[in-house]
Amino acid sequence: MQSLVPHIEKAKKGDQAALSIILTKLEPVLRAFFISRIGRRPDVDDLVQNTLLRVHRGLSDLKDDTRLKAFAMKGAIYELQDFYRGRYKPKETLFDSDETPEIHSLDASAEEQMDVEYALSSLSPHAREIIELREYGYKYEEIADMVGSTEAAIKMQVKRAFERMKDALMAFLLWIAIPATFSR
Amino acid sequence: MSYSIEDIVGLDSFSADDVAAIKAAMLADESLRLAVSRWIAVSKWVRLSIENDFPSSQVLVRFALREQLSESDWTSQEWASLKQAESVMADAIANHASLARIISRIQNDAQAFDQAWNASVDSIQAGTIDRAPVARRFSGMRLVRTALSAAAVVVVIAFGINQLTPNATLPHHVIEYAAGESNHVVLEDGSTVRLAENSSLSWDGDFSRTVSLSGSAFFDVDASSEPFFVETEVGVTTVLGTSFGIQTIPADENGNPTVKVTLVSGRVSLSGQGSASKVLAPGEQGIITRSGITVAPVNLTESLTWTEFLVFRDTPMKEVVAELQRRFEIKIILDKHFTDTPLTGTFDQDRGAKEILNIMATALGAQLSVDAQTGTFSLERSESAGL
Repeated sequence: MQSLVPHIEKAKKGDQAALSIILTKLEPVLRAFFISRIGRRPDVDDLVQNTLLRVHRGLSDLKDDTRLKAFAMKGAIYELQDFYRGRYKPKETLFDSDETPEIHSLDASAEEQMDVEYALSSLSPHAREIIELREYGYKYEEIADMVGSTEAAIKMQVKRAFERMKDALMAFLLWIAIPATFSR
Repeated sequence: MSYSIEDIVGLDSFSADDVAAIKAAMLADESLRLAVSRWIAVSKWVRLSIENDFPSSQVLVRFALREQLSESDWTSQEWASLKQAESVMADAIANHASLARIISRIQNDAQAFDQAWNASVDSIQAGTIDRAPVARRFSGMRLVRTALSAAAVVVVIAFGINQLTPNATLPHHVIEYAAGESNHVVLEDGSTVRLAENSSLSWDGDFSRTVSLSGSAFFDVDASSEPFFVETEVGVTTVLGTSFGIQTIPADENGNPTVKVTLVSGRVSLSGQGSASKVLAPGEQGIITRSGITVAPVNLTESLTWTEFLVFRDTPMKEVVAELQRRFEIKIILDKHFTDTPLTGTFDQDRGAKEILNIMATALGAQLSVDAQTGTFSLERSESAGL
């Protein structure tokens, strides 16, 4: 895409036609990239769109016009990471807001943190790694790819890990069900 | 469906039906409700520790790509946050092995981007005039639509316009291809032209987006505020940036030549001597004679066979595959998932079946394999495509 360099210079000066040419050339690259990472899903359209907007808004930050590839790649991977991190929410709809177990946030007492830490410490480093990747936003199939395993094997490890944590979690869950003013 | 905690933990996402069914199951089974509570509690806690201990996703990307990109690729703010992150990442990775996996994954993402870029660039670099294929689904693509609209161009083919006459004081550049040959010409402005056999392209003096065509050629003209002129036997084509074929049919017994303009992308306005202007849309062909202009939709692949390009525009993959099988006399097995997927792209036949299929596979998110014994190609859904 060396031929885009003159258009980049013009686009930086506000030439809309030049900007359009750049975005039009980038669109199929971004689409192919996102499909290769998350499959053919409606989310691909949004990721492509958001990345093009990043390029549009940030073009003035491009110091070297011959480095459009690095610039677009950076934007596309930022978008992809934001996409992964936004994936968790659905399972919290399993509980209505008024019945969601109350979890104290980062200002939780050291004692509470120890309960969960104790439960998590009962896991092998590998199982903990998988749970972290899952909560980061990767799907089981993606995690399997990352650690060189199969999706079924990963799911089995998570289930076993959960079983292992049950006892340690019992005390913690009793605590979170008790009014915060109650002293253990 | 009855749900166990194992079923629920194994789900990647929850549809509205899942949520309703799980809620009903929890109402009926207190132990399931408690198990789900435990699981959500662990999930939330792990997430909180991620939020607390992990750098932001943008900083992670910078850290992962710090070897691949140079300082000039980052803004000063990005660079400063990267330098800051470098000092604490070792500790963070020591406490969370998953961070190393995520960094490695981001580096793989960069490789995948590289492949997608190269597949596209290969198809538009100097020496070829392929266009990257696009498997289209444009819902929500407002920006791109705007971009495409702005890139629309106008081609005017007019009879009776004063022809550009060679200027004896300027050097005359001529590129010719004899029978049995055909070749690409990359012009100084980045536009590319593929000349058909027995055709020639010429211009006077320094190149200034004005050329004379004798015979037939396929043009892929870089958009610019400066118009691009193609002089033919019967008129002048003015272009602002588009791809199209101009085929000159020799004069008939009455001495009347015919020009066929077949438009792949962009927008074209044709005007001839004594006839009203007509607009060509992509996928249409204008036939211009001295008696007038007719416009009709055409099969681009068939109409542009003489260019030795394979031209597809929103063509269902089953038809693309049929054309490739016919053109290269090969066997291709297409995953039924892609049968009706529309594909848009222009491919140089000289690239060969395997390279063309590779580019298509990248655009579709498919995997290409070749049976070593039978030579049969297969385009299948890639493993990540079903997520």
